[in-house]
Amino acid sequence: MVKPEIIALSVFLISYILIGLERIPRLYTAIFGALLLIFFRVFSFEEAARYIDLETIGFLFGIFLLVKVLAESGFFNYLALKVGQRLNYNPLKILIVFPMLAWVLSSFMGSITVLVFMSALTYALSKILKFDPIPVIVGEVCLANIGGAGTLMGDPPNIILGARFNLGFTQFLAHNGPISFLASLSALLVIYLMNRKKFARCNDTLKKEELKKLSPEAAITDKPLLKIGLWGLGATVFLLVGRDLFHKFLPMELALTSLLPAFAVLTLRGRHPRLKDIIYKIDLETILFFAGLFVVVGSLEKTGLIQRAGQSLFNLAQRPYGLISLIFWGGASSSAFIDNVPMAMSFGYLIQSLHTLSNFNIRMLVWTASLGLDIGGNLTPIGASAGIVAYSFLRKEGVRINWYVWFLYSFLPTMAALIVCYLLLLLKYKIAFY
Amino acid sequence: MNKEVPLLHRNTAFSVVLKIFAGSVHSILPVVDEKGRLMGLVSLKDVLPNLFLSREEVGLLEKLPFFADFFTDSVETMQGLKNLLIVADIMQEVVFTITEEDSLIKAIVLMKERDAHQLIVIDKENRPVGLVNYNDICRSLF
Repeated sequence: MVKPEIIALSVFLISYILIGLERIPRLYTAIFGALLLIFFRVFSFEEAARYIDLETIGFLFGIFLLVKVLAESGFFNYLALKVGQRLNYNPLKILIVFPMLAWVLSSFMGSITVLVFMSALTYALSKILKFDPIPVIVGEVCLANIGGAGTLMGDPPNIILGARFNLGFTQFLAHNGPISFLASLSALLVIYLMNRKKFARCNDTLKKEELKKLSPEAAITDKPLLKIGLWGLGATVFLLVGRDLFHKFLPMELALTSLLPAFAVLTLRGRHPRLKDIIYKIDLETILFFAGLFVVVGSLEKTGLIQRAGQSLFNLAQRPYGLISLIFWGGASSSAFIDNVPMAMSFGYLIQSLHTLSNFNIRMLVWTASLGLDIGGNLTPIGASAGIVAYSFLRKEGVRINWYVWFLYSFLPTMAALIVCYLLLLLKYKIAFY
Repeated sequence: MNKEVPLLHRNTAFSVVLKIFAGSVHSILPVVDEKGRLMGLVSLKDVLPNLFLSREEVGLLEKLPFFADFFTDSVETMQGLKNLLIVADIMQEVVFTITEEDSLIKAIVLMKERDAHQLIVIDKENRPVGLVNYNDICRSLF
């Protein structure tokens, strides 16, 4: 009889490889892996279901709904055009400000949807104004991931770790927010220095004058929908903050903070033609992928493999600064090549194990892991979902981009951001602010 | 059913196709092989946007229609391509057809289901014998 830990490790590794190769839809890999674990009796159906973090999945579902409502209304295109107009459609200013816009939006809405819209709009502007879209779009991906690292709802790894360790919106904002901001400034500075000469030469005045006549309102397809979408998202942020500040008087699960506003919007305005079928348009594949992955990664915890990995890491690192370095750089380099969602799930269990072994502060480990995992994914086109979206889009449009070109534009800004994060994390530990 | 259907072959020049569409009321034209059997169709709805823009640009402007007026440079480039393309470059191989014996109801349901404005009518040997659209169905009621 094969040992359960061998089955768990095999299924985990094969699933990771298949997810990384992207030949098979990752949803099928994750669900099939989960079913195999049940088949080989690593756990029963009931045990497997307990490993599925419904808080995370519920929260994501609500956020996806709200962001989709905004997307359907034309909000993202409107915002980008409004910003572009303010910049007089100057390509050099677009190079700096559009990634910053991605940073702000991704802090609250998740980087995937932000990049779906921003990469299309940036590419269209690049064709009209004749600038190279690659530095701008890669910059948007980098800053979107850095921005997403700054809040609870910005990136899936933060949602996973936040739900697991009961860390709220205000805590992520207070601890990761400032680091994310400073890291984004360093990345932007590098992007500017790398590309300023090339973009300063792009100056199609005629097209700029024509573009300035384009009203950003032309991008809004449904004004009432936009208003209600913004209200819904605002309510989510309000509930997230309220949950942290008033949890003694108003205890509320994380998932409710997005599900309540999302379904309130749908219930009150469900007869709106664009809202009737909206539930079928959200990214259900990601939700189901998460469910399967929770079970696959959970099998490592069930079979004791995570605890053994934690012991090995603890023996390797020994001291706190060593542990911080290992978690941060290990997370950053692994998420460059492996989707940061399964890495975040694995790190969640690892952090719990390390805390048990070393009594090291859990929150410090969470801030460290989340920043490393979120930002490290910038280095390759497959490291983070935002990168996958942008890279696939550029390839589909016939842009000459490959992994090497991506790396050329992402490496220095990402390293600048990672170094700033690392130094600030060490400082956080030194001054015991965690 | 309209029995006067111009037939296209794989090597027919795109410029000839455009002239045929310009002079007819049809929105699709069947493509036949050497033996006259149906092998595909050319649809004006699909072909026209690609006359002015590349396939990628059409996809992009579907998402960002407010930018349409800014892509006029591409129009001049693509106009030159119409003399280089042939039917084989632009035809669809998946074709929805009905036979002469099929009912009007079937034709209506098929057009609605496939979001098509016309269907090719074929005989038992898979040869196109006509085209039917909503107007033809309406005419048959009077």
